[in-house]
Amino acid sequence: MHGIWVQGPERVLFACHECDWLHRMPAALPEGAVARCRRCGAVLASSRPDHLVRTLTLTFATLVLFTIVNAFPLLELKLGGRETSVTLLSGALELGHHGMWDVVILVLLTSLLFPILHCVALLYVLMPMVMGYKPPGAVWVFRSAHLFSPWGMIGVYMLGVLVAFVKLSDMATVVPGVAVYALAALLFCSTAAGNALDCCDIWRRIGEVDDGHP
Amino acid sequence: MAILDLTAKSSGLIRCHVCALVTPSSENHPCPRCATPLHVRKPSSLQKTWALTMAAALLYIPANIFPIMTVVQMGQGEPKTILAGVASLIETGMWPLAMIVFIASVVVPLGKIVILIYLLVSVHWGLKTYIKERIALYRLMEVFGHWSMVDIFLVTLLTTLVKMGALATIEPNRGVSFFGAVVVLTIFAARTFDPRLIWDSAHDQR
Repeated sequence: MHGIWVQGPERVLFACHECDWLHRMPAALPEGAVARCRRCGAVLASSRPDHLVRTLTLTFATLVLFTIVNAFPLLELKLGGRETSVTLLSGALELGHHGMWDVVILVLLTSLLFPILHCVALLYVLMPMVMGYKPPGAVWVFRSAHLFSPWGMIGVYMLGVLVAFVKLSDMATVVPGVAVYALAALLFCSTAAGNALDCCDIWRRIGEVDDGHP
Repeated sequence: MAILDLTAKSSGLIRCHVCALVTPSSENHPCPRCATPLHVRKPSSLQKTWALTMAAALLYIPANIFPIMTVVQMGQGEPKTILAGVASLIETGMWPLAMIVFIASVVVPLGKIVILIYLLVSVHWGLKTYIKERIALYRLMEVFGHWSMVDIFLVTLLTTLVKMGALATIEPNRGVSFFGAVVVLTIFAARTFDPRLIWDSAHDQR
């Protein structure tokens, strides 16, 4: 093996995910540092102080807010003495009454299931890690979180709620429900959690403890 | 940070696409850290991306021909397509909404399909210029790709809320399914495309 490829605890090889360019970097970046690819500028890794605790707290907050979003209506409509309301779940299931189960599944997965599973998977890995040990099956669970993340579309859902609100204001009285404010807070927490998450460090920790049986 | 003037591929190394570990390994061997099967490049990236992009382009036709929802107010109203919906938003003076819906359901999906076809063709032809620009297009697609879901969420919200009998009702139509399929297919297409191929073909000695 060529000497240059030797990776130790201090220095590791990093390949850019967008252009495959090789870099030799310190295994642990200085706090707050962002490493960018020399060739294409893509972000290779970033390191934030207390990223474990920070991500854990924000993810936990996201999950709590999710229960609030689910328990209250997003929007209420009043027209001619009649009232209707919509929640995250009732909105997703509504198209089932019209036989469009394909759309029901798509909406359920992207607005509910994948975002929640992503949070649960992160909590499962991060909580024990903060306390200093590795949960069983961490590799599998963290890999699943990686797969779920692009399919959570809470931000897009929020825009949908805003558009529906403005559109309906024209024909009836629309009242934003508690869930809308919870959804806005949720969006803030989940975005901040995503920014705080340092995948490289978590994989390194999973790798370290899991030495014996990969 | 030292630069090595090499790609992982040309050094016989593989980067794990899940946990980012770089190891001397070979195709399909499991990653020593996370056990994911390793690939030098995403397997059959071009074929898969072509297939998904073409399927999305084909389904975009019924998604626009079939109506997506019917708004009935005071007993009047007919099924409307995506574009007719945008037109009626403009008629009622809701310009900002019309822009959002138009960008999310027309510009984003069509733009994604056009960008994907351009990237695929440029890799096939081994284009050696405009690398940074093509990478920028790829990143643009990654960032804005899933915003076309707005229309689907909007239809589910409106149909659940507006059930006022004779006063007003909104019902979903078949076009929603086709549009949903377009969104899902373009997301998968963008994910199967390997941006490293843009750099590979540019540095190919042919």
